[in-house]
Amino acid sequence: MTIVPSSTFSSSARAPERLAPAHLAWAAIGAVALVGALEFDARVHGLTPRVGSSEGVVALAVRKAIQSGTAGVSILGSSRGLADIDASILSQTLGGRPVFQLSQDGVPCAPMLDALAHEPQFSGTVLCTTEPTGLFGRAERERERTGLPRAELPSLTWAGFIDANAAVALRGRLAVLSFDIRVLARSLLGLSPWPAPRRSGAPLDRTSALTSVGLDTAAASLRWAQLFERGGGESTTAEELEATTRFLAALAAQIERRGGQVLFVEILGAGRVREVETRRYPRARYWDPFVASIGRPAITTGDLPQLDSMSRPDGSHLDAVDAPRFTRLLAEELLKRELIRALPTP
Amino acid sequence: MLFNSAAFLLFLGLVAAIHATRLSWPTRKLVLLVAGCVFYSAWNPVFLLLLAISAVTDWTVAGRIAGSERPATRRAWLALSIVTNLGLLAFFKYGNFIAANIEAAAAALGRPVSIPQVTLPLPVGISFYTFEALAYSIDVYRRQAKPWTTFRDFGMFLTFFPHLVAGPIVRPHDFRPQLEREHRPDRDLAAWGVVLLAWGLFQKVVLADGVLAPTADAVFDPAARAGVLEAWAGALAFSAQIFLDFGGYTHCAIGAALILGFRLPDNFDSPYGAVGFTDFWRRWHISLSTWLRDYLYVPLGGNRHGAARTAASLLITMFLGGLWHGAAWTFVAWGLIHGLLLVFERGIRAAWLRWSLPRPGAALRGSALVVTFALVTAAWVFFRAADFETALRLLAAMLGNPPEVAAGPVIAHRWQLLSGLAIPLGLLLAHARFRLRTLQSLIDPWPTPLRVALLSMMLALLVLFSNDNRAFIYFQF
Repeated sequence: MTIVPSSTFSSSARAPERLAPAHLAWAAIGAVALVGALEFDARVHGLTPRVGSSEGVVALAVRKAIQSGTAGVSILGSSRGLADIDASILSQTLGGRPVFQLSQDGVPCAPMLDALAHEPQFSGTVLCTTEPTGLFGRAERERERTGLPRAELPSLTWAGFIDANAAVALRGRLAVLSFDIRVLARSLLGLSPWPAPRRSGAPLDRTSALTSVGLDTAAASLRWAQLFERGGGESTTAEELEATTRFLAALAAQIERRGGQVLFVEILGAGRVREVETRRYPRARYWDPFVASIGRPAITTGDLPQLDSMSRPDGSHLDAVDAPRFTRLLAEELLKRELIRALPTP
Repeated sequence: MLFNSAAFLLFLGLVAAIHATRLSWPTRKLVLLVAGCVFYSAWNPVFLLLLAISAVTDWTVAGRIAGSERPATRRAWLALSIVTNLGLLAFFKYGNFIAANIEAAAAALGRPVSIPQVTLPLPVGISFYTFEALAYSIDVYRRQAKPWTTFRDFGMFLTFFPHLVAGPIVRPHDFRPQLEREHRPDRDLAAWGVVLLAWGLFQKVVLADGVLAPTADAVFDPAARAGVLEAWAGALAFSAQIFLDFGGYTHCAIGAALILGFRLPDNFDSPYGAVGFTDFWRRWHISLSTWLRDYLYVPLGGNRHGAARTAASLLITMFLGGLWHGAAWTFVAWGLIHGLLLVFERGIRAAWLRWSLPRPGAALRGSALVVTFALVTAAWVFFRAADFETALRLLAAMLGNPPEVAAGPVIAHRWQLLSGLAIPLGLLLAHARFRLRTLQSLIDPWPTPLRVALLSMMLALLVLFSNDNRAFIYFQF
């Protein structure tokens, strides 16, 4: 019987000459020194650690949001909710109410609201942030029509639990991980200025740290405008809007029965993106009827000039440096209108 | 549990520590079997049942085949193995695809039918372990291998976690000698394993995900309208991304196995340095291409029955090879394009011999290498694109006919455009230059300080790019 191996084993055949395990230790020390030097540079330029996002970190945040009971505030939405609302600042402005950033890139607020509504242990306040496409686009209509399952609340396997905690531990300590390394690399190489420094967030603050440093803003704005032009497909009809509203209202009612609260915040884009949003989803046909029938607090940045006038470099999102001011102003507006409660000061 | 995760590094460290103890050889193999099950169950413990079905079926089948001399009995047992493994694959991977195509065909014939679709998660690694289990039964059937003596060893082979979820597709008879002879991890080879693991992660995390994926993602977005240069940057970026992703995974797998004292076969051999498509498939995903050759192409007739039969065998093999990658017609198109290119190349080779043309010179071979790379890159467009519309639009742009819709740049950062062009071309040059060399022979002359400095830099970049945590592309297959 002759057996011919089906493949070569050259990569594992032998070690390179003169490779010693001690070299690995030296390499590890070198790596720590390199990261340490970059960390020092980042700190000198005012950057502070932030945890950022990953599936596991979302799962940890969801777990905490459920555990926090009626005191907790959960931010839902897509990338605009993630970039514009700073969880730590919101918590501060609401007198220390625990705030959890549960927004996810590219996912409208409805699936997560659906999931939280069906989680019997959840009883917190939900701040549903949305851009017009997320609320009035075809995606939502399709979802209701086809009866797709709601977003599952992310859960953690034992491996995911280790990964999430390792991510929190590492990113919560290294400022050099607080911005996209590809952006920081340009700063390190002197090709562009350093992003504006940000203060440190809470341990699980997943707020995105977007920066316009090094960004071709015209191209980015065009790309977002194209995305919103096609995203969501055809605009929703009046009947479909009514169905969507009823669906969301029913979810809100489920959470309210457990002592929670749901409110909606529409965040509008700027420039080309705003043009697309206004053309595809005119306020009189979409937002106003939605507010009239949802029966829950709902505000739009279109009514808040201080928020509406803030710069959105890519047309869709705020620069990280503006997110805290945006969040503070928004929270103050919600408090002023008594749409949300702050923790009483002791 | 991804190789590029903290949990895996912790898990590997723990298993390696236990494996290095003074426990007996059978106990250490049992520990590795349990470790494989724990590793696999990190995705979904229920899927462990499918792995068990495959393992028990082929273990039983191989024993029965070896114990019988009656051809009909042997064939029946082999059929059971084929039906079980391919049935699992068909149900979990192709169920909805088959149903959707039956519905479409019936509708086209004017007799619409409705088949209920079941949405099931794809069990990770199912395409890989079913092929390994199937190879075992077929080898025993062909009397090319004897059945293994203990289920523990066979189970350990199948669940050996470095190759469990994305290959290399290890042949049982390649691996078996390593289980029969007691051995301990070699210190130098284990150190080399750590280097390979770091190198694999660097390729995956830093180059594939960190640098190339944003370019490819932007250009392959169905909503994007890329210009000529952007289309090339996107296609080239994906060519490099998929190699660095899968090649990186393979290095991680080989490295993790070496840390435990085992050797796994190579899966790539400078594929973009290939001259022609036959050469490409000897260098790309070697463990799959040799599997398809030995268990599909050769039984179909191979090249033993004339040109027409050879062409048909090649096309069928590549059709199924494409489908193996995913339940979509774009994968089939990718496979068929490679099949046609292989047939075309065979025709040229035959004509070359018939006309007694001189052996190609360096210039012709160099041109053939570049043409091979360009066509392989073009074929990748079908592999990566979400649908035919996107693929054809991108190919048209690459051929100088970008979409007429006025649009601005699809790639937001200049570095993305540059890296999308520079890294793949650098990879092409590196593969062409080192196509006959091994990694070790490249590293051997490097002085120790240079090695340590490069490894330090790789490790530091791994930490700095740790925010991007994507799964390996081949995990979805």
